[in-house]
Amino acid sequence: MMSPARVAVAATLGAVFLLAEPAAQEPRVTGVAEGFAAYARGEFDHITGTIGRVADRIGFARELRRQAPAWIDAAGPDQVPRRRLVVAAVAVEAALAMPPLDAESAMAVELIQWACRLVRRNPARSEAERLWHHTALAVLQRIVVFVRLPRTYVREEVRPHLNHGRDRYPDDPAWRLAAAGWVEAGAWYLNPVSSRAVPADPARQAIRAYEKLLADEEVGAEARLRTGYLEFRRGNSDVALAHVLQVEASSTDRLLLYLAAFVRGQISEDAGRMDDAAEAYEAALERWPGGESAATALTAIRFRQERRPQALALAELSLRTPVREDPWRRYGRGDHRLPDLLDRLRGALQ
Amino acid sequence: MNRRLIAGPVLLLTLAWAAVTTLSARQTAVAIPEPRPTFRSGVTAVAVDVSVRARNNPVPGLGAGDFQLLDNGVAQRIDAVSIEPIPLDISILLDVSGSSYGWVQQLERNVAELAALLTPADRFRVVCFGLDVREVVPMQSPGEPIRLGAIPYAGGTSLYDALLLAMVHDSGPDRRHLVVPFTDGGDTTSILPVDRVIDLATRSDASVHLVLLEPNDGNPTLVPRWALPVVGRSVTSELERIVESSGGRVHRPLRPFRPSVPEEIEGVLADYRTRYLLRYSPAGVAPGGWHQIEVKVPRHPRATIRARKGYFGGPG
Repeated sequence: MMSPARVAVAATLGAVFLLAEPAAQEPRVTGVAEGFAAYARGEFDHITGTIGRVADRIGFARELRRQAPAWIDAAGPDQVPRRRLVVAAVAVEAALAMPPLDAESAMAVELIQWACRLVRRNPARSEAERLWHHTALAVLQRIVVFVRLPRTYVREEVRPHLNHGRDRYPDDPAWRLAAAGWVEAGAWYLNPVSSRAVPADPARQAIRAYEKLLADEEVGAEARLRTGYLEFRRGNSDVALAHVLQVEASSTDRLLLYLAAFVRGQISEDAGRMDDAAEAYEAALERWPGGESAATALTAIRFRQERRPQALALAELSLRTPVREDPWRRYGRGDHRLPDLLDRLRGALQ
Repeated sequence: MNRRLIAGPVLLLTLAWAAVTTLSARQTAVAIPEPRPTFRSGVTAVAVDVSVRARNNPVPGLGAGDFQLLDNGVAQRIDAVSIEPIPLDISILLDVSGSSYGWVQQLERNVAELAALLTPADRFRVVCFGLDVREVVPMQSPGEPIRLGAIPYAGGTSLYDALLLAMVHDSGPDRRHLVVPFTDGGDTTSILPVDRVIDLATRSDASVHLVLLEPNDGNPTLVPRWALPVVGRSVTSELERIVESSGGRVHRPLRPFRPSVPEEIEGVLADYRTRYLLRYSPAGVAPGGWHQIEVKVPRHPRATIRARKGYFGGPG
């Protein structure tokens, strides 16, 4: 039986727990408004760190939407457009951090739609807003294609965002490239990269759209590369190679040069020209050191050629080198420029 | 057998699992070290790594006279047979793609379970694959703490690429290398086509023992059910071809919807530690091209015999 002293201690502890209970029921997600302010000051790690520590990402997204209006309106009217963009950028970061699960992915799409409505309320368009739309599109492409939300979701959620971007920036050729890219993504959908087959209709549609952009100074090189790769997957290797070589000869974009060399390697491999393929993958690695896709393809060739130490060195390069996202693995869904876009968006907000 | 002998040139050849012919690969300019001179000697010697099990236990005490070995259908004289404990290198591959996201914590526990089955002389590493393929724990002894750190999740599954990058690992002449992937078997983003990986698995020194997890059941996966016929059905047979080409097997956990280390894996490890190594010099067959190997143990007709299906003898 418990002594009176122990009963008193137990009662005291019980009272302490009861008193402490309201604190335990505080919202699980805190620090959202502080996160907006830090992001506006250029302290981007603050919000990514906050999101990283939150187990309930859906709760974070809800809290973000709940607290945003007060934070936006707390500044003077002249600050409101920039604050809307800051909030929208934080929303993109939160969407990007969602785990690849049904409910979280659906919330990520919803969050971007909400942020899109927010930035479109700004009366004047800006470079930061243009970059936000492109970044948001890349995040949507990342979420929608590779987590395999149903096809209806794809049409309903991505297409409107493409239209919003085009409506706001009708002279921006990148939207026409993105729209064609989305058609191309349909050609890749559920067709593994390792299989050569590609559905004919989306491929033809995408090629027609790309052909209209070939002469464009800003997006012509990527349109040409994409045309070349689709032609390769349709079996027209000579046409494909001509396009790819032209990109390699004319572009100065390091990312495109990597992709072009990689595709040239794929074309050569498909034709059984292994030495040419190896040379192409080596060129790709010079342009984008540590590129996982080129390193993997070259590993396979060297291993088959019984040049095992070289294959091993390449495999270790691929497995252990912490590089930025491999462009090729993201090329199919069209979000291969996401890290660059996010950097530029953050810069434009300062 | 005296371990020191393993350093001899012939056993270097055999344990490296190579049919050795004159190196003829063209050398092109690349800033990667050239092949070591050790096992490129022009000698023709072949080793066959054989498991003989009866009722799931290794059959001990077999000698050269107990084996029959056919190289491209031609009976060969076995020069030597050895059996001895050999430490293992294990490459554990964890599927962290969207379809496996819900069971990742369990997979982390599986790493510890598997490490607990290893002996102090063994080593293991952990490679995660989703869209990208990353080594998150470098090769270490089982006694060291396991620090998986942040696992890079991303949609997409580059399983075939992960298998290649793992199989390339060089364990050296006095260890054996096993690749143990935990995966639901789907592949959506590999660069390498499956037939290429099958070919490379045949050439590799590694054996793949794959733990096949059930897709889209018992975990909050994102593979919609309408997509399963496309994603989930054919991959199993493709995977089985890769695994069998490496001399390994596909294993299914006892409770398929909860990833776990299948009990038979412990037996697999013991098996690889005590395999027979048959050494012979091919006679009566052309040296180049693909050599199909068949091994029998007539004295144990019901025994399960596992060995590689063959080797490449260089340009045909």
